[in-house]
Order: sequence, then structure tokens, then C-alpha cells
Amino acid sequence: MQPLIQLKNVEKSFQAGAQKFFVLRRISLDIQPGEFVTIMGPSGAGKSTLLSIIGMLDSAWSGEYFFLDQPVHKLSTKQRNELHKYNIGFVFQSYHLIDDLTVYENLEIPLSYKNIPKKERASLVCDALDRFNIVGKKDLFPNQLSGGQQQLVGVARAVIQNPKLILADEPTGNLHSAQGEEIMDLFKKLNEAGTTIIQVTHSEKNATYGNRIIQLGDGWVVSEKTTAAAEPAG
Amino acid sequence: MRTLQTWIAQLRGFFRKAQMDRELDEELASHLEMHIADNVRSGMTPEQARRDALIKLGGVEQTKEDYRDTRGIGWLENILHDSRFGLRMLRKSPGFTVVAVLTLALGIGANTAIFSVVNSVLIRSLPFPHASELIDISARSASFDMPSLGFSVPDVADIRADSSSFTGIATYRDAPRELSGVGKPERITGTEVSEDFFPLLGIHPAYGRTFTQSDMQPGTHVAVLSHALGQERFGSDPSAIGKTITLDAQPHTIIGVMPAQRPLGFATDSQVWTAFIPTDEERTAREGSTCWAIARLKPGVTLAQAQSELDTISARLASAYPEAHKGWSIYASSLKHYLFGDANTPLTILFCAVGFVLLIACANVSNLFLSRGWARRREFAIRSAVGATRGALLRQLAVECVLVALAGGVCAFFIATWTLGGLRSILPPEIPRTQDIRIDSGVAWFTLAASLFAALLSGLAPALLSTRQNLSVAIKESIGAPGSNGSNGGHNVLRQLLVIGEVALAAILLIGATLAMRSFDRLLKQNLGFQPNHVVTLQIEFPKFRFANEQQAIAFVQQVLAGTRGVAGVASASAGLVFPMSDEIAETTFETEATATDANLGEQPALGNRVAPDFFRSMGIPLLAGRDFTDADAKGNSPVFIVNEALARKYFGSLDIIGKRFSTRRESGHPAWGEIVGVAGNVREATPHAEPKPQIYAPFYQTRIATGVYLIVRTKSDPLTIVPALQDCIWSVDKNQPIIAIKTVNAQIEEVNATSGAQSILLGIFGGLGFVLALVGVYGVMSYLVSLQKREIGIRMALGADRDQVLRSVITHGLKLTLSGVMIGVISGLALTRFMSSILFGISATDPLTFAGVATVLTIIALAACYVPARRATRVDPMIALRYE
Repeated sequence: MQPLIQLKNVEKSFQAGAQKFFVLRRISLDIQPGEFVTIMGPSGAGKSTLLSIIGMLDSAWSGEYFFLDQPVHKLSTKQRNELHKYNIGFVFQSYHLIDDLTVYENLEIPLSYKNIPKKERASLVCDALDRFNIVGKKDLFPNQLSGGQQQLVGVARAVIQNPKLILADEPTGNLHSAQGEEIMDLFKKLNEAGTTIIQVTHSEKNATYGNRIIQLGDGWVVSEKTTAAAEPAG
Repeated sequence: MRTLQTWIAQLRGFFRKAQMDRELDEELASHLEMHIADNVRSGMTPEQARRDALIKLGGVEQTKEDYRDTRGIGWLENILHDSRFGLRMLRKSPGFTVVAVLTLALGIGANTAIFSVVNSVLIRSLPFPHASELIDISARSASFDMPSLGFSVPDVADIRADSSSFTGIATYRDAPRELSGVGKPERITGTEVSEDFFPLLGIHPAYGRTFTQSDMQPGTHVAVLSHALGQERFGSDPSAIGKTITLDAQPHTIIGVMPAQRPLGFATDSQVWTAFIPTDEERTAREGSTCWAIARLKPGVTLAQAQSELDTISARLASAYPEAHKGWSIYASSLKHYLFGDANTPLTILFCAVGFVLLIACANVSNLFLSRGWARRREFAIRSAVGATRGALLRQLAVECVLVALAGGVCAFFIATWTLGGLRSILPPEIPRTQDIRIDSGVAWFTLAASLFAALLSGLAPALLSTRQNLSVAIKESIGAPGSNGSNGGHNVLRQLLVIGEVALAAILLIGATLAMRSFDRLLKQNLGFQPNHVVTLQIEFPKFRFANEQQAIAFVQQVLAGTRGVAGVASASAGLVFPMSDEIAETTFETEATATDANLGEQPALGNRVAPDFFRSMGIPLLAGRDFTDADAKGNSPVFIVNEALARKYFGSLDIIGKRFSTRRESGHPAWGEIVGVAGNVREATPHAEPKPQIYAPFYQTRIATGVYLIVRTKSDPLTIVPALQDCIWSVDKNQPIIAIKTVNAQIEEVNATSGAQSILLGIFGGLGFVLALVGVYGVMSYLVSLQKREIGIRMALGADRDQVLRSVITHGLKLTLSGVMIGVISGLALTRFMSSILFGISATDPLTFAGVATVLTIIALAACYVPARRATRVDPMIALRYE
């Protein structure tokens, strides 16, 4: 089967004076469609950097990266942006909702960057509000919601464009355990419906929701193990 | 009394803090020791005794605090403390401080500079005792298009006799003199004044005396010298009194020397004053404008009451002397308004312009304070958390604003001082007392007031907003927790309103400046009806002592012109009482056969001139029909006239009027008919603004009165190169003939246009300054908004926004603000620029092209100012959203 993501010898470093510091070293990974991958490791191991490279937010790295068979390392910024826009959804630890926009408007943001007519956008937003059971909150501003509700909106925003891949960076890091479980259940359902998910987490418990754990240390892939929690979609 | 004693005690406490602290320490220590000693005596252990003594005293430190609270002036100490902290904070952010201080310095400096002019010209009173009681009395006539006319001698006598509003009425008239005796005869400024002129003004001679009734007799020749002339001729020697000087070839006894006077553009500026002794004819003639009048109001009498009395007198005189006073009236105005009233409009416009510049500067600084307040929200939150009231925070911010504004004010004061010379040189010439403009205590107080106003304007709203916040949120946010959802919405709304406001003000300023500049451009391009290039004029006068009658003057001119025409490089030469744009106009009345037979028409007003042959060729005025004057058009031959096209068309309906009968004077109640021999093209006689009026030219060689002429010489090359030869021509006829002024016509036109030029330059400078400040404001706000939105931009990019979309979004935001400001500016401009109508020429105050042009240019350049921050926004790293984790 054609992997969704293929990384070959990806490295990222930065220069500090005469010295070169490596954030990621020779990362080679294949991630199949429908996988639920957890990236773990201590702080500074390069987890978020790896996530942002996979999410095509970072272009200053070396190596080869194929996404849906397309060589990301050879694409222009514009092409990468297009690929990212149509295929990847982000969920952040701090939710990153825009404070001055209502829940409805926050959900509309990713759609506004695609050529989707307003009517269709409205319909997609309403579907998402309905699906995530937040219709009653659509006119509220982020500061009027609890942390769990904000993250729910964050997840809804990530999936509203029906991406092939969801990247989640510590999605439950700012939530208490009950809210965290709710969000992880949601991811699980999305994964079962076929969405590939890559999460970065420190939580062993959250890692159990996935089918594969990649352990990073000092920029290297230290270990990889597959769990039985989920099977890749066939 | 008790309050006063408390104050004195507090003031003493404020200045003797250290000593009083020492005294307090010693006193408390002694009390403590006494209590301890008592306790020990009553059987306590030393430790128990000390503890008990401390409890009884209520705590040494608390007691000290209570005492300190009542000892000094708390609020003053707090302000001093805030000032020290404020200075430290300002030193800590030198970038902010320098930009804020310089911005305010520019705004306040422009205001200080223009205020120094307003103060000198409009506010400072005339240098006479009880100057507000002094008024000018002038006449106006429907027959003459002049803002004010003088009076005949019998008219003044009637006004004196019939009025009760004045303590006195004095008369004066221009009487330039030829001062001879040492070297070449010198033309000096002079005024003939009535005996009550100086007493009425309340000015006294430095030496000697002024005029008395006995000096007003015919045959008396006495003179009062100005301080400058007295010093030049006699040093500062009082012995000048009683000596003689020769004025107009007549020895005059010096009876007084006046003290130095500031120039006012008034009779007090003269170099010499002589007695106003009317001729026998002047004593009885009602016609003509023989003298000017000033008066002093009786205490308690208002100008309106005086005017009402003058109305009654003018009505009586008009009915008593209908021939001389048809359509005639008398007007009183304060002497200050009479002298400086013309400066009101240009100065008001300039003051408004610099006011706008200050508002724009305040908006910019307000934005800086907003940003600073937002950045310091954690500090304010912590201060609040440890007990600071909102009032205390406001006080601290207010002190910082005042420090910045005062620093701006100090710089402004220096800017105004340094630019004063330049400002003087470009001020419109109609603004009087420009040499009197100085930075004085009034200007210093104004600068202080403007600084405090700027502090209030720029600091109040940011201070109120910065101190209105949720403590816990502010602390959490500023610590760096990004998802805390705090919003600086209030700051941003105010910031955007400020940008809209300053763009609107800049639009108004630019519209005003552009209108003034376009008006000036049109003025320069105006077809004046003649060819001013290569023409030079030489002004000469014919004083009675030198030219006994007009025939001598005519002969002099004929001889000079004959010589001049022979000078190499002269294309043509002529003479005229006035010439177009000469700053002087001659007015006359005329009759045609049609007007003379129509009882409703009678004599009609027109501009006049008496000219020698070749005047039209020399001035480059086209002759549209008929012929020029010749040497044969002289005394003894029938009167001939050349009229301009405007007169021909208005009164005859065509240019085919050669040979028509025409008269400019009456003899025995009937028109003294002459003949029209030519029709000349229209010229702009007084200013380029005024539409050509009917004008009559008569031969100079037929004149009955000759007081002076302008020789007008057209040359083949640069006219100034042959001026020495022209002077020689004059002096070859009479070696003592003074030449009053030598000027090219182009230079004269430049002088006439100087007011418009100066206005457009100054408005251009202030418009440009406002424009630059507004652009800096737009740029600053957009940059700051982008920096605040970095996280949001990062999120949007992480969610799929590409760089073009981010660029568009920032520019669209800037465009919305700019367009709102431009729209408000244009609408306000439509209402405000009508006040400029009186200074505009050839362009409407609501000229659509100017409004549209300014709106477009301002929008485009403001967008360019947005582009830099927008580009910066596109470089936001989307990973920033992740980095916050």
C-alpha cells in the first residue's frame, strides 16, 4: 500500500555561531493511511518540530518527504501550501482559537482559505456544529467557553475540511482528565472513520489510543512500537 | 489661619525630611526607654518591659508611618516619586521616548511658531496707553471701490462739533519729504499731523515737545523727528531741539524728538512729522480725501455707541452736501483692527493648520502610549494586586505623559526660536509687525499650555484604558500564556479610531494646502492683459517746492523721456500716474452722452490713469481700436481719452466708439466733453484676482495736477542692466531729483503675489508635516497590529492561509481605516475649506479635482505605508502557533 507519509533521512539543524545544533537526525518514517501514530519523548526531543515538518509549516530541513506520493521537498511554497490546505488539519494544545471571532467564525476560517462558496461554507460549519454538539455555542466567543469546549471547537475546526491527516500537538495538555478523555475518544472515532492521526503527547494513557508509538530522543528516533489499539485502515 | 499654619508645617516637613526623621527616631527611642524603665521599676524583666513598652507605643514603625503621613505634603511627594519613576521608565525605553518627544515637539513647535506671530500681530495691544479706546474713523463711498476713504477738512470739523463719544479726534496725512542739506537730497517718510495727534495717542517726545495750536498757523515750519532720524542726524543729543533741518527746501525748526517706536504700518512709523496746515481751498472743499482721522473713545463709550452717533452725523452730512457725499457713510473701527484686521484671515487659517498638525501628533503619541500601556499591563496588574488604586495608576501614567509632553514642549520652544527667522521671511507681507515677532513670556506660557494640552490629549484615553483591566487575566496573559483569551479590544478600537482621525485631519490639511498651492499656480499663470517681461519702472515725485505747477512736471517728463528713448537697449519709454499691479490705483468718474442725459445714471465710476505717449507699447497692452496718445495731445488741445474694452462694451456695447463724446469732469455743472481716440485691451490693474473693470486713460500732458509719475521703460534685454543709464537721464535734467523707487514690473508682480505665495508655502509645509505624521501613524499602527496579530496570523497560516491572503488581509484592514479617515476628511474639508474662499483665486474651495486628487494620493501612500507591515505579516512563521505550546 502507498504510504500517506514517507520521510527519508529528514534532518533539521540550526547554526549558532560556529556550531551546528541538530534538532532532528536522520528521521525515516512511513505512515500508512488510517494509522493513529503517537510521537513521544522528553522535552526538546524534536516532537513538535517533526510535527511541523509533517504539517508543512516548516520548510527549513533536509532530506526527502513524500506526502501522498508527492515530493514535498521539491515543491514550491505555494504548492506545499496547497497540499497542506486540502489535506491536513491541526489541533493545538492551547486550542489557538481566534479571540475576536465567534465559534461559528472560528470554524469557518479554514474554509475561507479554499474556494468554497459562502453558502456551502455555512452548510459545512452547521454540519460540524451539529456533529460536535456545539450548535448552542456558535455565537459565543472563545473566552466564554471552558477549556474542553474550546478544544472541541479546535478539533471541529481541524476536521471541518475533512482532511486526510490530523496533526495534534498535546491536544489534552491543558484539559482535565475527563475533558481529555472526551477529546481522545473523539480522535479515536475520527480515526476509525478513516482519518490518519499523528499526535504528540507526554501522556502514556493518550498513547494507548493509537496503534503505533514513535519515541524520539535528542532528535533521533529511539524506538518504534506497534500497539493493538487500532488497525490501519485497509 | 489654622489651614495656613498646617500648610506651612507640611511644607517645612517636606523640605526637612532627613532632619525630622532623625528627631522622630530620637524622640521615639526616648519614649521607649522611658516606658521600659517604668516597666522595669514595676518589676518586669527587661524583655517583658520592652515588649510591653512596644505594645503601648503601638509599634515603632507604625507610629513613624502615621507621623510621616501628617508631616509632609503627601500628594506632592507622590508626584515627585512618580516623576522619578517616570523618568526612569522613559530612560529605559529611549526609542519610545525620543519618538514621542520629537513628534510632540514638531506639533507643539509649529503651534508655538505660529502663536508667536498671532501674539505679536493680533494679541499684543498697540504700544499706546489705553490702546483699546483708540479708533480709526474712515469714510466709504458707493462711487469708489475702496475699503476706506479719508475726509475733507470741513467734514472732520463737523464730526468734531457734532460728536460726543470721543475725548478727541486727530487728523493726519502722508507727507513724504525731501531731506536736503547733507549729500544728495534724500526722500524720507513724513506725516502731517494735527496738534492733538500725539496727545491723543498718549505718546510723549523723548526731547522737546510735540505740536501746539500755535504751530498750526500758515507760514510756521516746525518738525518733530523720529528717534532714528534724530539719532542719525544729531546723535542722542537733546540739543537738536531748536536746530533746523531742510525739508522740501524749507528750513524747519526741530521742536521735538520722539522715542523709538515699534513699526506698526501707521503714521507713527514716519521719520518726520510736520504740522497739518490745510490750504485755504482744503479748509472749505467738501470733495476729496484730504486727511485721515483717529479718535479716542470717552471712558465707558462703546464702539457701537460711537458708530451709532457717526451714522447720524454721516446721514446729516450726506443730505446737506449731496453732490460731495452721494452714497457716503462713516465707519469706526478699533485702531488695532484697522491696522491689523487684514491679517486675521491668513493667521486664522495658519493657526487652524498647525492645530491640526498638533492633533495628528497627539494621535500618534496616543498610539505610542496605548502600545506602551498594553505592554506594561502586567506591571499595572501587579501594582493593583499589591494595593495601588486606579487613581494611583492613572496618576503615574499622567505624570509620564506630562514628562514626555514637557520635554516635547522644551524642544518645541527651541524649534520655534530657531525657525523664527525663516518664518518671518516667508510670512505673507500683509501680516504687519513681522519684525516685532519674538519669543516672549506669553509664547512660553502658550508652549507650556500647549504641552499640557498635548499631554492630556495624547495620554488620557490610553491611561484610562491601560488601567481598566482584569487583574488575573492581565497577569496570566503577560506571563505569556497564549490561550488565555484576553483581548486588547478596547486598545485596538481606540488605536484604529486614532488612525482614522489622523488620516481625516491630514486629508483636511492636504486639501487646504493643495487648494492654496493650486490657487497660487493659477495666480502665476493668470493673463494680466499686459507683457511684464523686460519692463522697469522708476518712481519720481513732483514736490511743490521743486515743481511750481504741472507744466514744469510735464516738461520734466518730456525731457526725461526724450533722453531715455535714446538710451541703447531701450525699446520704448513712457510714463503713467500708475501702472498695472503697481499697488496703487487711480479712480475717477466719467459721463457719456447716454449717462449724462439719464438722470438715474449720471457720473459713473471707473479706474483712471494719466499716461504719456507709448504707454501701451511700453506696458505691452494691446490697442484694439483707434490710436495711442501723441505729443500733440497736450494742454490747450481738446481732451482725448483711451478707454478699455470693459468700458467700451459695458457703456457702448461695442469697440467701434472712436470719436464718441466722453467726459471725466464737469465745468459749470456741465460735462467738459472730450473725444475717445482709442480702445485698449483690459488689464488686471490692482491684483490678479480682480476682474478687469472699466478704465479710462487720459494724456499725462493734459493733466491739471501732477504729484508724481512712474517712468515705464521697456528694454530689449535685462532691464536692470540699463538702470544706471536711466538714472543719468533723470539727473541730466535735474541733478537733485530723487528717484523714489526702481523696480521691474515682474518684481512688482511677485510682491503683489507674495501673500498667496507665502500662504501656499506655509500651508504646504504644515500640510506636508501633517501628512508625514499621519503616514507615520498609519505605518505605526499597522505595524503594531501586525505584531499583536502574529499569533493569529500564525494560526491562520497553520489552517491554510497563504501569504497572499495574509498580505491582502492586512492591506485591506489598512485600506478600511484609511478610506474611513479620507471620507471623514473629505466631508469635513467640504465644510471647512469654505473659510478659505477669500484667499483662493481661480479655484473653488470645494474643487472636486483637488478633493479627489488628495483622497487618491493619500489613500495610495497610506496603502504603501501599510505594505511594509503587511509584508512583515507574510513572513510570520506559522510555527509560531506551535511554539507557544
